[in-house]
Amino acid sequence: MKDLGDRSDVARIAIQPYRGALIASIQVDLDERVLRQFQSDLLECVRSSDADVAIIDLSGVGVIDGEDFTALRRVIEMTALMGTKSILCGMQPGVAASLVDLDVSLVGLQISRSLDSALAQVAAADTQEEPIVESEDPQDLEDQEIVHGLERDEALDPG
Amino acid sequence: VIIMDISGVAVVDTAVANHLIKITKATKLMGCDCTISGVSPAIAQTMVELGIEVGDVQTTATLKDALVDAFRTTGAEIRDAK
Repeated sequence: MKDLGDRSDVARIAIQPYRGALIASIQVDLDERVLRQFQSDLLECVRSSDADVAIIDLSGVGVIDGEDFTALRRVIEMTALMGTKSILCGMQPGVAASLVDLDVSLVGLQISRSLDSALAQVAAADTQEEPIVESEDPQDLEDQEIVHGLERDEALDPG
Repeated sequence: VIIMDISGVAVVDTAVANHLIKITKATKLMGCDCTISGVSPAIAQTMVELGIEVGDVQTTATLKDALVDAFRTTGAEIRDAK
């Protein structure tokens, strides 16, 4: 791939669209170069998709330092500027403890326990928003909610 | 509602970005909802890296998103003409 230039050896983070959300699953240890690549990849994905939410899954991250977290935070601010809010999820206990020890600011960040709960949050926000645009008839609203509920159950059920 | 579309703008510097924010704040003082649309990845990166305080100014990546928001605030909806 030509466009990667001298950064072709950098580990890249997979970003997948899923039901109106972008899911970025971080399964490598973060460093400055990985984060810079992730920043341009994610912003490009935000531009090309019409996702309202980006879910950043930190379940594969064992260690994070203050600098990396600040960089990650800046990426989240950038996506917010482009109208896509980000949810952090799957933070490991060690990572959470070190972030609190480092005394970094978590204000304004949306954080979920797991990818499942983040997706449920997105689905809940969708059902809340849609009635305003779609319909004002209460019967229709009920039907929509049922449909959404079904879709979500099927999506979460692996079998 | 005012939508300011900057999708044709390739780069911004501190002065320009601050000015854009000032315009939106001024329109807000006059009672308008102002949205900046067409914020490209490059502009988003510059604004965060320059540490520009956007506050509660609404920003979207595309004009489409901004219009959807605008229709929601004004209570308008799009439907096929019959």
